[in-house]
Amino acid sequence: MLGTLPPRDLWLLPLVSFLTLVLLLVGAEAMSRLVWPYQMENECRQPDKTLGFRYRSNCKATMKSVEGPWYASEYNECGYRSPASCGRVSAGTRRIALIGSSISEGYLVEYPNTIAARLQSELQAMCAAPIDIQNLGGTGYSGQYLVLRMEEALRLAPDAVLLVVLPFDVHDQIANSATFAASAGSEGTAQPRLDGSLRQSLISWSRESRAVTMAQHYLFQDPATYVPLILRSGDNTDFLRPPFTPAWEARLRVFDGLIGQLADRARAAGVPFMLAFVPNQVQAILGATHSLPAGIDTRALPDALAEIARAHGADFADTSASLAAAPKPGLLYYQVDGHPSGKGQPLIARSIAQTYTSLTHGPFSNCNVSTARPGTTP
Amino acid sequence: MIVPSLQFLAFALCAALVFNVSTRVYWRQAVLLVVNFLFLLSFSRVPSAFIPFAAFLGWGFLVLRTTRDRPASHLFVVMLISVVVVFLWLKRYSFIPHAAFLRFPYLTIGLSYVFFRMLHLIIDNHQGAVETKVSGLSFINYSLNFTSLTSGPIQRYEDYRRMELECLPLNLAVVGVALERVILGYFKVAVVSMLLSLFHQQVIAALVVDQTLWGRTLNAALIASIYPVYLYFNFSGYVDVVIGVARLFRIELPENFDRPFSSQNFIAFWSRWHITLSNWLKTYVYNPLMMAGMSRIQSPALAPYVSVFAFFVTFFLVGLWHGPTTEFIFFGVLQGGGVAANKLYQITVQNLLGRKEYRALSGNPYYQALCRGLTFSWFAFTLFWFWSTWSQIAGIYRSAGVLAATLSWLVIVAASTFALALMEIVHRSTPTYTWQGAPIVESRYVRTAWTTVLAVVVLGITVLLDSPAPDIVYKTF
Repeated sequence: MLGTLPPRDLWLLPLVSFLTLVLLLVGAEAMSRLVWPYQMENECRQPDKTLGFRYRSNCKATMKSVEGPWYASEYNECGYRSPASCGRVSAGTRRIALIGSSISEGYLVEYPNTIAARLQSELQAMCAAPIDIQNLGGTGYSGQYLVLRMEEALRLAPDAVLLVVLPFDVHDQIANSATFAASAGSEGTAQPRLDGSLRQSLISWSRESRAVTMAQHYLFQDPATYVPLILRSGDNTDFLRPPFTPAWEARLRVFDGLIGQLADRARAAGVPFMLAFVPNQVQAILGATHSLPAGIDTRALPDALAEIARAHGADFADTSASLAAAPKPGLLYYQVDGHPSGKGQPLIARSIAQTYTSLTHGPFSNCNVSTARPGTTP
Repeated sequence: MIVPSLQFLAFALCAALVFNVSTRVYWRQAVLLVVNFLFLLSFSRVPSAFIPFAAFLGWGFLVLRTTRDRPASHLFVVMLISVVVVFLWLKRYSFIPHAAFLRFPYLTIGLSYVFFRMLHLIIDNHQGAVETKVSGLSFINYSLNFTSLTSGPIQRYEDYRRMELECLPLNLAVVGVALERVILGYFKVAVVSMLLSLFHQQVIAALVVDQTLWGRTLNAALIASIYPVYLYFNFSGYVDVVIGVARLFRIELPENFDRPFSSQNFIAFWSRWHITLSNWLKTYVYNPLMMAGMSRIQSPALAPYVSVFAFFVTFFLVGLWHGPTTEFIFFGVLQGGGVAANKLYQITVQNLLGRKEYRALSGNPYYQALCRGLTFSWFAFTLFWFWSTWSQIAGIYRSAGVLAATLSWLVIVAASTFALALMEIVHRSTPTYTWQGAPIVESRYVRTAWTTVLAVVVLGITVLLDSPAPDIVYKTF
């Protein structure tokens, strides 16, 4: 069976193969980490007994995701990611308190391109009046943490409260509710438990590998590659295939309860409350195509959320059309991470501003939209 | 089960293990029969889907047996034509009335290649070139050989039978080389052709958007020139996989590609691209046409022009074999026309310059480089009628504009002349670097390392995308 190979090749060839494998993996990983550094730890984050965590007052953290640029996260005296003070506003200034998770916070995005900053500039232009946005958003704030954050927001005497959500925020409702109940007083949300199997170990390794992330980032830029792949992720994208599965029905019920609590508090304080929906990457891409894959309906979730908002007397903004209208909607997001990038968040902000000014009620209904200057290109 | 998939590889490796439990002929024949049927079953679970295929095989075997001992040529011709007609009917060629087709769905996977194998066997058998009677088992295993069923290569029966009886050696070195071939094939299909396909789609989309002359010229040039390269990696990658797998079954399949873009003329191109198909057509179409033509031509001066005609018909059939649409008919006209024009050019220039001078010109490296560029460019041009429709071609032409479309062909000729010349220089210089007396690239240690790199990249891309590799273009035919 050995054929014409010398006996030493029985161990030498496998060794060559093994060493090549090690060199390749180590080399690829090392090169990737050199080219794509990241700093994901927010130094300003501190534990909080009630909220799990909050940001330190007057703090500045420098951060970078694998896919994005370096950016600074600066927090005012209240620990909100806002350049303006959280104290009383001057007369004539309209204040929006922005609550929500990472999307509201402007996670991975430099401040000038965040929803908060761009919404401020859009509304200032449309309303020809000063606007103050207090950004109470924070990565991981969802479920009952949001209720606590809403109460904090209302103490700022805002003219409006805005909650921005991605499908991911609805998906995580039940898990986060359990986390809130189980870990009140500790920091952050629980990580999904891995069962220690080989497959889970490989998945965990691939998530941590910079080379894998780098390869995915470039491969996922092409919708023809990304869309079929992500549509196979089962439960995560089942909201695109109505009727909703029992799991998604349950999540929507929990979310309905949450919006009810938030809307009740806002109503009691006499403050208008708006729920803004941001589609995820695959939704934005599919929203721009003329023919959807069989069984796919990108409107199912936003329509359900609009109904929830209406039922509780809240306003609803759907930013889907704005993102789908962009030339390459998929590139408005970080390919692997999935959050809207500094290219996508300005479009989201403009859409929300347009919704605010189109309402017949609320603090921005009297804004003269026709005199607004065009928003700047991200 | 598609060939460029991990499922196929796992299936083949398990089957090879069972196959090699014994070297006895009957064991190997029986295992291969079961494996061939299992492979076919992976395409359909509906019994009725297999009936037409089985009937076609049965009819072919009957014709084979009937025409072996019967010298009457008219019976042979009639029975041979019946096989061709049944094939055309099962493939639903558009000149056959729709009402005549079967109403239920049935399997046609690999039918074209089975047809070629069957015809070759019937013809050679009738002419006495097949020494012994072909048994049913050998006939089925030869026709349905799962390693070459979907897209070839077309192996000759005599070679298959010899390997069936002789039992080629299978040792560690052979297994290593076979696996190396398989991994190379997967890399070509799963990585290179996949990336080229994505790039091709992107430049087509970009052509509509880009308004500058240079932008449209570049995009048009890329649209035309990427596809032949993509097709090469897609098809030759598949061939690498099946050759490697077949070797584990002690079968040496013939090569189907031999660095086709190194060809200096279109005739030579077709002796390096889809080699087994062009060899089959040369043997059973070109040669008989040449013999028939030469027997009728009195003037020796006209003899070379017989080959022009024979080339045209042969390679027109190459195009027509791909499909019954007007696009493929025109594709055939371009293939036949290209080869015929090439032959005419050779005859004309040789007459003008003289044989010695023509040989000197053909040996000039700059002339050779230009010929390679022109050959590639012509092939890229003809492929438009292979991968697109008349309306798509018109759309691309409209988007590019007359000037950009024209300039793009100049760009393709120039770029391919330069690139292919560079490729030739690199190819000729690689054996220069030696280690222990042999070219370093052929060292088994270098090859092991390189194959490991390819395997990791293939696995990585496949896992990252969590999807199978793109299917083989030629599975459609």
